Amino acid sequence: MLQSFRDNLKGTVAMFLVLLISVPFIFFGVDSLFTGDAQSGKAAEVNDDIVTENQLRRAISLQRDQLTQRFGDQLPVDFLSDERLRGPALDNLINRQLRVQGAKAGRMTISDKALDELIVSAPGFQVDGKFDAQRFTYMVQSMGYTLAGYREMIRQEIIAAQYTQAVAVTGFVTEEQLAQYVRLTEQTRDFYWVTLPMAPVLSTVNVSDAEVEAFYQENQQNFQVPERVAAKVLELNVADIAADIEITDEQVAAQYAENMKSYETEPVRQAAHILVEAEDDAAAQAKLAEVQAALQGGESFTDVAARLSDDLGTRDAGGDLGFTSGDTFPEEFETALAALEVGQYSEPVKTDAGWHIIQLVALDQAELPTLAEEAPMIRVALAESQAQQRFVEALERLKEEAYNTDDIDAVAQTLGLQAQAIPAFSRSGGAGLAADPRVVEAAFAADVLKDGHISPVLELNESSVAVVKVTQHFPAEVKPLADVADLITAQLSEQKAKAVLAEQGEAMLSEMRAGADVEAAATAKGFDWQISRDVKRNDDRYDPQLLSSVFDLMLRDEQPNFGQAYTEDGDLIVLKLVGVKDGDLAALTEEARNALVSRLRYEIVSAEMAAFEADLKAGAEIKIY
Amino acid sequence: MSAHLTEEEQLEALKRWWAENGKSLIVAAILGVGGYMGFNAWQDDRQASAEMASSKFEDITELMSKQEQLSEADTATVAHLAKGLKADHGDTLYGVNAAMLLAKQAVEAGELASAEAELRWALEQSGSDNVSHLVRVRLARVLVAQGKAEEALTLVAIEDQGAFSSLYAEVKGDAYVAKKDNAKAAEAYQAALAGLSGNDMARAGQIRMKLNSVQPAAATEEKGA
Repeated sequence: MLQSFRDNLKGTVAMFLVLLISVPFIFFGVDSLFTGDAQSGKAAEVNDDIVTENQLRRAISLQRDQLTQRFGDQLPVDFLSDERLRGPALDNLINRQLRVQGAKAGRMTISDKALDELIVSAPGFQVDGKFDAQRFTYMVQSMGYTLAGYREMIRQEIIAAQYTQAVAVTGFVTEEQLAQYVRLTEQTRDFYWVTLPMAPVLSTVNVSDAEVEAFYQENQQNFQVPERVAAKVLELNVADIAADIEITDEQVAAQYAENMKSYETEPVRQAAHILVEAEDDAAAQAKLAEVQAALQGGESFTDVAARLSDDLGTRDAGGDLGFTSGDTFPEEFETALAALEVGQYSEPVKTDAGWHIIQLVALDQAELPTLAEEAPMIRVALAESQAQQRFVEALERLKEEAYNTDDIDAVAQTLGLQAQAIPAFSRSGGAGLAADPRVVEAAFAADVLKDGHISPVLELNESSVAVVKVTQHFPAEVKPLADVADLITAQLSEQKAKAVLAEQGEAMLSEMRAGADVEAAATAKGFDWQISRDVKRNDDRYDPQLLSSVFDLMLRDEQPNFGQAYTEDGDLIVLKLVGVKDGDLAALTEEARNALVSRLRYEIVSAEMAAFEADLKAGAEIKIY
Repeated sequence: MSAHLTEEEQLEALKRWWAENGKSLIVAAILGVGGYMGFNAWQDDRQASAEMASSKFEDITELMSKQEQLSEADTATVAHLAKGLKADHGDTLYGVNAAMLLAKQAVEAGELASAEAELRWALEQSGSDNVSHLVRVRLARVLVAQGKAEEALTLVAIEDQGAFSSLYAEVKGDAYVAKKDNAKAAEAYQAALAGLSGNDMARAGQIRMKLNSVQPAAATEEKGA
């Protein structure tokens, strides 16, 4: 059918059809057929825009690079896994897309010219301080972009940045806000405080066995011990095998001889020359004679080369030709050079290039390492390579033996190894080899735990494997009372002491509320008391719990107010607030004022920015695939 | 045009069709192409204008990020650029941002009335929700600073507060503090706290501080735990 269509497509009708088809191309261009990440799947849809899998993959790998750069090897591997990074990376891309949409809705944009200027001035695309088109293309492609795609990406980055930057640069702090902020943050307070210590009360309380027993019965879930196993682990590794391998001196010597064969034994010579090119031999001889006379007259080789050499490339560098190990220059040249001693120059030598007077500038005779120097390294290398072989054989036998029997010590004996006993550990792991999650998992696998088999061979790393055998199984249980009685007693004592302390505190407070003198009341009970004045809310000389209580209180009608706080050690502090002085903006130095303005503006702008973006997101239709 | 017609017949049919419909087709084509080109030209013009605004905006942000405190000359340059943006590109976000920038400068110069005027203009121009919320919150702060707490309260009393509810509530609290109505202020600050996301510790601390200054021991319940 297509054939007949083609046959008929001639003359006026054809012209008409071609014109018709060409209309869309005039307006939309051919590239509309080829642009876009058509092949790659969708990762998310943000309103009408698509975040592609490609973009997401790039973002993930960028994130991984940044994390690795920042934290190096300290990060556990699964921190950098695709699954871990995917969520946050996608979130970032979606937020970015939202910003771009917000910016576009506000008709934010950037001209092609400004975009080009930015790209051209980016240090990453420059070579020797100048924009390099080749480097640009290479970098862009290595990031996985087309040139057009990269430009579009940068364009979006810029308008997205403009969009949020606008929130930041227009943020302000009114004098009213600043005054309120200073009033509160720079506020100082005066207060009395009496410390009721925990320790003396603790020594007076008694906890009976019956109470401990009752607590134990009621709180069984707190004394659960998870299921544990004790195990034996048989580890096979290359290093242990290598340690047992004896390497004889003869073997070392043979290997040394072998190694020395491949050493570069030819000395390396640095040569310089004075070249004489001439029409004919006579002219050449005349010039050569002049050179030789100059050299014999005591003029340095460098000076003569500069003055008389016909080799334009080397004469300003003292005739220096660089290094040879005997095969760089023509044979005649090399022969003459080899005959020289350092600093000497040769008789004229003729090659295809002309006549040379050659100087040996330096001689570097490679020195062979001695057997004594090399022996330790050779010994290790030989042992390692033999151990590798034995490791592979032993691994095969381990697999077989471990499969055929359940007696791990017998397997160990066959292989000439020793199984390690590992003390009981739970599913969350233990010490030594039991810290390895693979060992733990193997120990708790059904056929190892229940049926008493030896586990399959676990590869711990490329030069170490292990098998696991459970020797004892401890089911989950509740710890016996005897084991936890002390703990419970301590806990109950503390509870009781706290109650006593609270009572004492209440008594103290009501005395003070009734108008008793703090000093007199405290001294009567033998408590320490203090008065603190002009204390700010972030004063680190005071217990934070105390300050927090002090600043929670308000003076009512200029009357004192009372409160209490427990310190970290369990002591109770009873306090009486007697004075509050608001911070005064006018009292601040210019410097302090400016610092506060910046801090407050930063805090306000951060909150505004967060709300700005959250609002944008809340109103969007986002689909994640 | 069926396949069994000869080329002559096809041509004949085409000619007949052309005679009947040719004129209207040409008129339609001219209208279509003309309209498309006109639309394109208009769009190009709009785009060029927005590009100009973009470059001016870049100039402003570059000046402002140069140092924390702008020199007098730079402040004047920024103001000049911003006025131009506002006048010529009021229909873009650049214009709105320029007005916000002028408001910021006015606040810093202590000219609250002119800051209010700029923000009112920006509020009228702002097309999208998040921008107008931002402008409204800032305008309310300027009103409070001018002693117009009542006006500020009216301004922020809107139904749909989007993700700005905590910020609205905070400025509401500030307005009540200015009116010395501690009970209402406490209520507003509590709402501001409630509207925060859990991980915003710094801001939570600030609002709690304000709350404690109008309502004693409000925060102790949480601390007891």
